[in-house]
Amino acid sequence: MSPRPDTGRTSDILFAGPDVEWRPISPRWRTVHWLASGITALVAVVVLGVSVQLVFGRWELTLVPIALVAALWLWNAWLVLRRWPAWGYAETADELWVRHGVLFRSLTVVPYGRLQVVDVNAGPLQRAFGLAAVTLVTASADSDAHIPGLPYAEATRLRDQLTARGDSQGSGL
Amino acid sequence: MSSPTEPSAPDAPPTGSEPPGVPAPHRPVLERPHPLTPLVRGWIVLVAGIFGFSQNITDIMSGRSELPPWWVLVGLLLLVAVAAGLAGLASWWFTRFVIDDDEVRVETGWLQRRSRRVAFDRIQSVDVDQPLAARLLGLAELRIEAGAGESATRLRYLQRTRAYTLRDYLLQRAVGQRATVADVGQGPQAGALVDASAADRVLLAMSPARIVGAFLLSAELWWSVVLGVVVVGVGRGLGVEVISLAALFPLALGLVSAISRRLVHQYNFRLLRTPLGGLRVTAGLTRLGSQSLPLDRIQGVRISQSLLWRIPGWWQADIDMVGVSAGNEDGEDRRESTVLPAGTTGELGFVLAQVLPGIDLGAVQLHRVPARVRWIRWFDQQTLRWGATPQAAIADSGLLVRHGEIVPLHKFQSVRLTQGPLQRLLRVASVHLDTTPGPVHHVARHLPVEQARPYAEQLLAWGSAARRSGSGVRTPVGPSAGPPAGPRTRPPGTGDVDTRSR
Repeated sequence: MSPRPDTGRTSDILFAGPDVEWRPISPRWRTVHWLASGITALVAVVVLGVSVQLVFGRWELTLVPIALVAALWLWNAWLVLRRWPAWGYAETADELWVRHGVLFRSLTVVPYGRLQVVDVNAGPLQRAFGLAAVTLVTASADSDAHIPGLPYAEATRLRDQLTARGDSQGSGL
Repeated sequence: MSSPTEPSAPDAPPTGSEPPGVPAPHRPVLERPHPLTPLVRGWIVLVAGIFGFSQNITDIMSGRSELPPWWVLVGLLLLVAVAAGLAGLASWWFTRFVIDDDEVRVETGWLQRRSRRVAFDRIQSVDVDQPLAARLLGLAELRIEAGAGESATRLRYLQRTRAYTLRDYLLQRAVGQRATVADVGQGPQAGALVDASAADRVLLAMSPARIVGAFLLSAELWWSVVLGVVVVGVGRGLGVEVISLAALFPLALGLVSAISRRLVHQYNFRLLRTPLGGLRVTAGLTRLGSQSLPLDRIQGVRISQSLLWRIPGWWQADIDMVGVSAGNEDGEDRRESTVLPAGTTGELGFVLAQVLPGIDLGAVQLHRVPARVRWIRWFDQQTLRWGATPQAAIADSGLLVRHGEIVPLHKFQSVRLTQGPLQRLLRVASVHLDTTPGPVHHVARHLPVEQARPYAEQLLAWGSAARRSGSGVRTPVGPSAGPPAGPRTRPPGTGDVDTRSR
């Protein structure tokens, strides 16, 4: 899976990393998303298929919702594939940089001193793949420094690193 | 109203475990709130009941509603009021507090007892609130906020002068000054009409004429009027007046809320400087509220001017403050974020100099956005402006309602760079400065891509320098603080205290 080529040179500069390299998130993040959307799709297929069968009473018609859901799932899977290389984070001496998004691109830079809480979350599916999400919470509701799809070791390293730097560079509100 | 024993063991026999010879170093005297408290609480419930009753009065009059005779209703209402009064009595009986030279502790609860002790240096703000019923009886609520996210500790109700004394005392302790309750009690006290004592200096006072004028020219009023005329006109045209009357009802409600917000809450508005150097806002026609604004907790300022306010040239200024969350604006926890309800450009400059001391907003060079942005912002492309100095960043926008968002650079939480698909086509991007929840949403929209990235990096660098200098811009400002030049086309603020609208 080679990284997706960038849409344009200017965006490259706009969302380029700081002086340190972007770190990618785990490729297993894609698998988790494919599986999660797959489960949702399966539930949708069963519910829609049964209702179509009950209403119209013809099994051929259940193919319509199945095809629809399958198309949606494939589209979502393609989006996930595209989004994965867009995720990246980097730690500089003073700030945490996080970028994400393909169509709507976003780059968030949070100075370590603004850290209030570091959250590490892992749902059941993510746990099965040894992944966790790290969120740096500031006093602002808008700063979305959220990094999904990190392997456990990396998540705990990042958490400890962020809290240590937050302590040493902490600045009052 | 003091009780010598601890409430947890009111009738416990002396255990004798205390060594007899050692005098207790600190014997807190637990106080109860004022004994008229249940009356006030019952009254508030009664008023709410009457209000609810009067909303259905038309149904009752027209006989559409099958209601019992009036005396049953009045009886029910009284019953509810008495029940509320009794509940208030119980809560009053079980509420005790101690605020003395050593501690702040509040004990509440009947079945589940709760004791909360507040550390002096963790106190964020102390405010005095006076609803109408309490105000008539000379009572006031004392609200102590400590720690972001925690609900405020409220004491309902104390004698007004006592509440003022405790407020002044706690605020002194909060900034680390040694003070005793007795000392503070000797000082000058605030009055019943305005929460300003002789020690507070009035920086700005809004005349009733200004508040009423601001309401008459406000966008809320004119939207209601225009929409109301349209609805009635359409209703008449289609011959369905009943439906249009029903549609008028939400409009009327909106109007009432606008009146309550603009007139009742902001009547008698005063911006004060307290002896400790902080600011305080006090306002209210029926309910007199006051709100301390510690300068170092101010995270950003939003100035705005609705369309009709351009005639007199009035501006409104609101601030973001730590602990004042936007989702907390309901009823009792409502806190003022407005530092200027409707001021002239001169007053605006003066207020900005007070809330952002040491920051020269006139030095900010504002840049326009490229003309190609018209493709996505055809309506207000020419109003978008952005710019920053090492001290503060400004982002302006708005065609009908003008907005300016000012963020001091030692206060932002994070910097965000965003670009949507249309922006990518036009080779522009937006730079956001995130602040604590509140009215300020600082977004420098649609910068050319060549400038967006350097601007974001510049903000980061300036921000970290400003934070390192220990928010050194927060120099105490005296009364003769120089006026800042207003941003953009604004004439420089006069900065003179006497220019207030009198």
